Amino acid sequence: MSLLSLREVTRTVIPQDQPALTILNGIDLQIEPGDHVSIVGRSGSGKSTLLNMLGLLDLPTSGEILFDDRPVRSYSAAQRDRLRGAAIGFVFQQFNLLPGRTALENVTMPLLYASGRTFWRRTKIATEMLALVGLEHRLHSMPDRLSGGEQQRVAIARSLVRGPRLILADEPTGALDLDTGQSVMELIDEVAERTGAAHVIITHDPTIARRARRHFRLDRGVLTPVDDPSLEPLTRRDRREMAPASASADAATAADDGLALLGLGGATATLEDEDRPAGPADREREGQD
Amino acid sequence: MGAVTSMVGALLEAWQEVRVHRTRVLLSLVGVAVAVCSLTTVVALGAIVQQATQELSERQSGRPASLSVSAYRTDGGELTAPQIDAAWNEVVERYGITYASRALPLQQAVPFPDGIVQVATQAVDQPYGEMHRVQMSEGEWFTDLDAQQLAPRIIVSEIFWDRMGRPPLETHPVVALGGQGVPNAASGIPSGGVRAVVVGVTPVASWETEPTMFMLNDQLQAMQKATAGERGEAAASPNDPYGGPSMPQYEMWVPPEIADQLTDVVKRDLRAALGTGVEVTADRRDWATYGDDPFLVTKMVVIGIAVLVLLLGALGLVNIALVTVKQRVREIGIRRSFGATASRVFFAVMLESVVATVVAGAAGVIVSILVVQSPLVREVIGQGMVTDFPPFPVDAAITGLVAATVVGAIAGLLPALVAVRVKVIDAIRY
Repeated sequence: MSLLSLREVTRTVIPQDQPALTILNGIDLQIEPGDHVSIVGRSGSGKSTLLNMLGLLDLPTSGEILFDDRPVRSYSAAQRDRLRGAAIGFVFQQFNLLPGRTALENVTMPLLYASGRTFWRRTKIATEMLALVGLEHRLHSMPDRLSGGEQQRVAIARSLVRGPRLILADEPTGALDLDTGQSVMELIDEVAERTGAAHVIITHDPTIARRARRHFRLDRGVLTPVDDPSLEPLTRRDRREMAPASASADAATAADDGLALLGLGGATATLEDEDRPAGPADREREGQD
Repeated sequence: MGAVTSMVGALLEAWQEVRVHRTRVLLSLVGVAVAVCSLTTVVALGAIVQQATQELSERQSGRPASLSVSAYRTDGGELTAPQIDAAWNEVVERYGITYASRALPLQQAVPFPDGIVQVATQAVDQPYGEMHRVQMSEGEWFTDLDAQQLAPRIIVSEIFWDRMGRPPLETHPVVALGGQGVPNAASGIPSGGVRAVVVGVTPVASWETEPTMFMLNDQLQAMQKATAGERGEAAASPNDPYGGPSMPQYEMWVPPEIADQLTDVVKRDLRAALGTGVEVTADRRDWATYGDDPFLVTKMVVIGIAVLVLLLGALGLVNIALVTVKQRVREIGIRRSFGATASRVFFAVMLESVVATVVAGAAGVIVSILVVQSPLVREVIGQGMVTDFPPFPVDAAITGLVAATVVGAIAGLLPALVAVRVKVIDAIRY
């Protein structure tokens, strides 16, 4: 059973007095429990919109998203929010810690949306989580008193505190120096491995992306599997080989078919697109992201 | 269980928000606290003003239900005061009416060190003090025994007492009613007239300038008789025991629920006692007969001012709340990404506003209590004329707190609507 599946997901927006703009185009992606996926893309490629979809923050214009094989569309908005809170943890580039709250209060925050024992034992759980990321001595420190690495550790503790099954890391090292970035990534990988959570890293940085087991490249709304995040998109055969053990070859085929349907034709089309200079439509798309 | 944790969680969130942004919250809530304080104070002062007006009215025309009784002949014949007195006493005794009094306004010449002054005097019976809420600043109101004293007892106003030089009442200061001379330098006792002992002093309102006094009706009659003898005149006419053409007013204070019934009975009995050709009137003249709610206008004005004050406070709060929510878009986005539902965000932002305004409201109410209960304000409002200062009205405090809550909810509504429309990822990334 897949944890999260995107099938032929397309997201279109209609700017005022302008023709419809396709932000995501026939995205196929399957994330298994314990999976480790990286998505590399340039600004304006649709990363934010894809993050919205993966985080159940938005619904596709067409196509389907399934969480635990159940269509996300069948959930009400509030149910989606609760599911997100319980099953998905976010790590952001800018840490996004709540200002004026201590590290402990920041990590406690997601537990305010839990219920039962988890809610009432929130301080204990948050304290243990901070200890897990090595910050047991900074429980009552304000974010502005913490280094960048420490802040990101708090953010990681916050994303993990409800025991998510999927961690979405959006440029998690973007605001850190190289060494700190590496240690933060090691921490995410280690904690994810320990908890069995799948994690998806969205990044510009191929070095960070390479840590994942599976790699994708997002370009002009099209998601393509790649062997190496810094290299060109994979061929159809490569993709079959890279597909996770539990995923069927149908997924790759379906993705391929989706690209074919859109007339992009996989690698060649993507390469052509990348070589093309950005026009007004591209700039609008960047604005949407 | 889930509802409880949601509620507690939202409250905790709201409280954290208030705590973290305390400076901003404090500044924005000053307006609300002032508005609630004003509202509560205005409502509370309204109650005191109403009480003062009521007491003033009761001093003039008695407490509810006060019946004013008069009798006259329809055939042009003479109806004497002793006749009415006798019939009146009979009725009062028959129905066991505790509070009944005659009240005769007259002028008494009183020699003060700076000259003789005609002092406005009320000759009353002992129950009058209770019936008309006569307040004492010194000494006591007349007792039943006072009527039996040979020297008349009088109760004077502060102005009267001031002009006497404020002698201590324990020394039984006397004035010569109807006397001509100044007090004897050696004895301090004025010459001539009837020596009356001052047993009490009543406070005066700030607008009063002339001395006034009370004396007992029976003692007035005895005094008139005595002074007529001193002047070598025939004793006062039996038909004119008060020494003049005035007739006293006859009043009784009865339970309002039986007032109408008693009015008919008193009229009937007095007519029967006074014989044919006599018409008896008995009317209520207390404030409670002026309409459904004689203080309605006062209340409406007070409420109008209070609502206006509160609206201004609410507008200020909405303004600041809207600006701050726009600054908090990122925070709302973060909360949404960690599982806060739209309704939870809406509720938390609303609650934050409500929590803050309730705290501000409570502060406003406390300040209002301190202001209204302060002796200085009471003196200014009561003008020394309020006997029974009402305790701080609970409904004013409740009105203040409810108003604060409602203002908080209304002021939180717009920002809460803005908050739920936040686009999560956009809010977080940019």
